[in-house]
Amino acid sequence: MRLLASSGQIDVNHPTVGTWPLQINVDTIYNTLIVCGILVVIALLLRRNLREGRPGRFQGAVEGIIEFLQSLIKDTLGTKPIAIAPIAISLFMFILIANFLGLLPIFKSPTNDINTTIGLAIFSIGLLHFYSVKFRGPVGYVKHYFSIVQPKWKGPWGWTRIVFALLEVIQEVSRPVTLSFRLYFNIFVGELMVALIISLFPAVIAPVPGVIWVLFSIFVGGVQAFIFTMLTIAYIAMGTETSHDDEHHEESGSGHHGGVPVATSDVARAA
Amino acid sequence: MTDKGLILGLSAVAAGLMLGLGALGAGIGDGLVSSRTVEGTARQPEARGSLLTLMFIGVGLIEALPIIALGIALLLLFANPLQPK
Repeated sequence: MRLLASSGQIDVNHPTVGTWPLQINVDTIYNTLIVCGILVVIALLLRRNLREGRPGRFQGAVEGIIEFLQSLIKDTLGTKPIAIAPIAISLFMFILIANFLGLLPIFKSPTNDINTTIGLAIFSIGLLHFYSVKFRGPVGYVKHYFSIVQPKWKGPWGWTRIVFALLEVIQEVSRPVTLSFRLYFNIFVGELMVALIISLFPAVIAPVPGVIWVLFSIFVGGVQAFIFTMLTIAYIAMGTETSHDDEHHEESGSGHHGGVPVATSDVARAA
Repeated sequence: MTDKGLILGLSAVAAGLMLGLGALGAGIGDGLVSSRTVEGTARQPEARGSLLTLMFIGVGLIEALPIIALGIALLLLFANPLQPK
């Protein structure tokens, strides 16, 4: 796929190696390794300068991110024994650094390749189904699909339930698709617009829209990383709800309303 | 009119419609989210932090849709898959 622009062509193809069953996008692998390297360097630097009690600015920033995500997980999941925090924080840091890498001149985001985002989405949805089976049991997992709604008129052989179960299956399938496409298109279009602005505007005024768009891209990169993580956590929280939890929730629900926990899962339901 | 010209013209119209309608929907959605955030902050100023976080989540979810439309519109304009070679 080549994009024709006024001055020359913008190539959005990934350089590949190999043929179809084992085709490798070289630049994606390369940039993913760079992101992993950056994360390892951050972790090593942080460990070397680790100070208990009075953290430096760098340590404070990372601790702020981790504490924010931990409190979000605690609010969303409640007291369920799921060790999701390491996975969620790793996901967030990886996607954040990956989104920001593309803003540097010679690098590209690993997340501007649909393969990366689909991989991440399959991972988090696989985790959801793993925990769903673990918490509800195989029977409860299947049964859940048939107990979404209790319509007043059940119909012969309960066929309304089957229709609603089908809708629920469609929703489950659409989750990884929307998760991956949301992240991919945001980052891909962000980088494409930078290239288009450079080639469409005269060189004298190109920096003005360019800088505005890059500032917007910084915002979008952070928000999309947070949304991916938050939706993963909220999906897992919804997928591990059991009927026992619902009763408990209604008992203690009144004190909870209006805070982050209830509302975040509401946003996730709408997504 | 040649096939090529027809496809090109219709693609341009489709891209315009796509961006306009996408921006319209996203504008309405963003407006609703921000107005409710302002209302909530006015009613309960101490909830500002958590409301702001929620607003950014909502705005991020909404903004993804016009950006997907922009991606498909750019694809239609500059790398049309329907265009005969």
